Amino acid sequence: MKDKTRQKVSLYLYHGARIVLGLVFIYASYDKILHPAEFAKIIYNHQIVPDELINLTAIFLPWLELIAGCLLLSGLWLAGSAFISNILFIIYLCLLIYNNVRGLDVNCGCFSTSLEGNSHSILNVVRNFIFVIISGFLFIKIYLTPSSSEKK
Amino acid sequence: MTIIKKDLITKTLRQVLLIVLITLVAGLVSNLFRADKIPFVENWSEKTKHAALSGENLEVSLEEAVKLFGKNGAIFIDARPFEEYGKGHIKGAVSLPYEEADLKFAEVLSGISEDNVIVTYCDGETCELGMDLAVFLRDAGYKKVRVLLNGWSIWQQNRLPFEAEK
Repeated sequence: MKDKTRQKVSLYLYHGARIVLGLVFIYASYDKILHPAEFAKIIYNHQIVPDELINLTAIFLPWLELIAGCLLLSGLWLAGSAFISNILFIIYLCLLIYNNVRGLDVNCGCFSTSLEGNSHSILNVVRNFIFVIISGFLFIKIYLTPSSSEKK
Repeated sequence: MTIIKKDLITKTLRQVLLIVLITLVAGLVSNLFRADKIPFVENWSEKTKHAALSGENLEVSLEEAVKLFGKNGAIFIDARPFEEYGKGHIKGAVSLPYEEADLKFAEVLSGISEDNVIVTYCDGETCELGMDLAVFLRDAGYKKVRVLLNGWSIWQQNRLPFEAEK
C-alpha cells in the first residue's frame, strides 16, 4: 500500500517536473523568437560568446528552447528533451554565477529581451538552481529508474 | 548500482540529433522569411563601435554631467521604462523611455530648443537605452545630445541629488 502511494507521488512529481520545465522553456523562448536582434544584443552583453556565434545563437537557441519545451510538455521524446533541458539549465546556471562573480550587470535574457540590467542578481541564480534541480530529477527518473526509462 | 541502458543512450542521441535538426530548420526558415531578420554572422566589434560613436563620441563624463547639472546647463532624460524612472532618477530628469520615444518625444521635449544640451542615461554597464535614445534624438534634430553611460548607477554611487515619484 505504502509502495503504491509512493509510486503515485513519484509519478505525479515526474509529470509535474516535465510540465513545469516545458512551460518554462516555451515561455522563455517566446520573446526571444519575436525579437532576435534584441536577444543578440543581450548575448553580446554577456561577453562570453565569440562575435561570429552571437547571431547564430540568437537565431537558434530560442527555437531549441521552444522545441524542447513542446516535447517536454507533450511527453514525446523525453529522453532527448530532458537531456537538452539539463544541458541548457546547467549552462545558464554557470553563466549566471559567473556574471555574479564578475559583477556584470546585464539582463540575463532568461525570459525577456529587455536590455535593462538584472543578471547581477542572486535571485536569478536561485531560480535557475531550482530549474537545475527539477531538470536533474527528471533526468534521474528517465535514465536511472528502470520502470520509467523503459517507457521512453 | 543502476546503469543506464545502452539502448537508452542510443535513443537519447538519436532524439537529441533530431531535435537539433528541427531547431536548425526552424531557425533557418524563420530567419529567412521574417521582416526583421538578422544576418547569420555579424561583426559585433564594428557594430558596437558604430552604435557607441555614431559618427562622433556622444559620451559625457560624470564630471562634465555634474557641472552641467550644477548650472542647469542640460536637460537630463531618463531612457529607462517609466516604472524604473518612478523608483528613482536624477533630480529634475524627465522620463522618455526609449521604447516609447517615437510616440512621446514631441510631447516630452515640447518647449525645448534643438540647441539645448541634453544628457540621456539609463542603468547598467551595458545598458544601451541611453545611447539608443541619444542617437534617436540626434536624428530628430537635437544637436547637443550626450550620453552618461551607466548613468543612474554612477549617479547614486556618487551620492548626487536624486528624487523618486511618490
